[in-house]
Amino acid sequence: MNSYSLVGRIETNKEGYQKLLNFYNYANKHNNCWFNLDITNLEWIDANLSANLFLFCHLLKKKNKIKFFIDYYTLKGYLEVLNRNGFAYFVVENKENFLQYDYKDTTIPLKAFKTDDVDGFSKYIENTLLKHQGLDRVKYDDKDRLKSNYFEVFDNVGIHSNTETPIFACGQFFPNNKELKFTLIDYGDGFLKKIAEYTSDTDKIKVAKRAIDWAVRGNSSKASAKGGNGLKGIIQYCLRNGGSFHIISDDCYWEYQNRSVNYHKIENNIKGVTINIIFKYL
Amino acid sequence: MKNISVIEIIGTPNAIIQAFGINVYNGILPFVKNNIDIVIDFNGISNVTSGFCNASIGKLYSDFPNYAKSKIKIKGLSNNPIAIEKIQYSIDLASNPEKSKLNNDIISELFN
Repeated sequence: MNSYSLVGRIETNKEGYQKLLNFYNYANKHNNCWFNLDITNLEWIDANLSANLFLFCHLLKKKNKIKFFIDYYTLKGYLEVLNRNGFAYFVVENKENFLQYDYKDTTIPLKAFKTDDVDGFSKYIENTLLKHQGLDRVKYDDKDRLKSNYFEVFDNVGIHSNTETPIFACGQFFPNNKELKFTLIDYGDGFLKKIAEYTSDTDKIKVAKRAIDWAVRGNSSKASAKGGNGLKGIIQYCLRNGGSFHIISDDCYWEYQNRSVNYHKIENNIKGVTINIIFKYL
Repeated sequence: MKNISVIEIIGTPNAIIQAFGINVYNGILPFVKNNIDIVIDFNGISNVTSGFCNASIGKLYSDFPNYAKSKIKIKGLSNNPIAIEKIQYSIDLASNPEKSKLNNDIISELFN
């Protein structure tokens, strides 16, 4: 059996994403085989990143016919969260011991949505994310707006992403740090392609970081009608309430926090967009 | 006056995708062409996005401004202030497309 070891700490940042991507790029060189996802030396993983890892595994299963194995007995201590949020159950072939049941109520479970599943996605955002105990302190009005912003993002995926692959979502509440992290990922065309085409006569955007800036400012490349400013709405929430917001597309890891935007280069990224929001409370 | 029920056209309380907005726009077109007064009825709709609003109501105001101003009424939104805000914004944007570039002060400062 082939094996890949995830080691150290994998957090919701550029380094964490790059580690998961390195796994995908390694496994993508293999076909028609078993892969042991070895987490023996994994100290920590932000469990919301199960959305990214699950997309990668989904692609490897579908395109490369790879089957995954995780040793159930390595999911100990904190890492058993990968069982509680459904990641292990959905990914592995050896499902016998894995059961998605969150007795701690700290996960926002891993879920997949087709791009036309408006009711499923609405219910997940309204009932699973926004009613989670980790967001108790978010004001009702802010929740209403956040809900709407995520719906705008969902709509954008359906319009722009040009993909049949579902969107994956997962969240995790960290009560000790007073943080809740939520990740949404699609396997579409990303920001740059469409925005570069749309702005070829105007702003002439040619790099991913500028494409993401352009989108976050509330611009839209929708041909038939303007609007859909979910990203702008999410960053406005972070501006008012603290927290941070990350967008990963093409070769750019775009990161907003503490009233500034930073850009990091991603090596050998796959197509698609990841959106992370980190809610923080004092 | 013709009552146009949004939930009957889109089949869900979640008016959250542009495609639904296009369906509503297309559903209203025959009445526009016959110059019939309409009420766009949002009763039963829980969620609305600007993508939906711009593709439906905003596009009506953009394509048929005189008709829209005199012959369209909207109802069923009294418990949904965000929906009211989004619909109003889509109407404003239809009248003033440059408006979307005017509201970026705080966010624009991040990129300067």
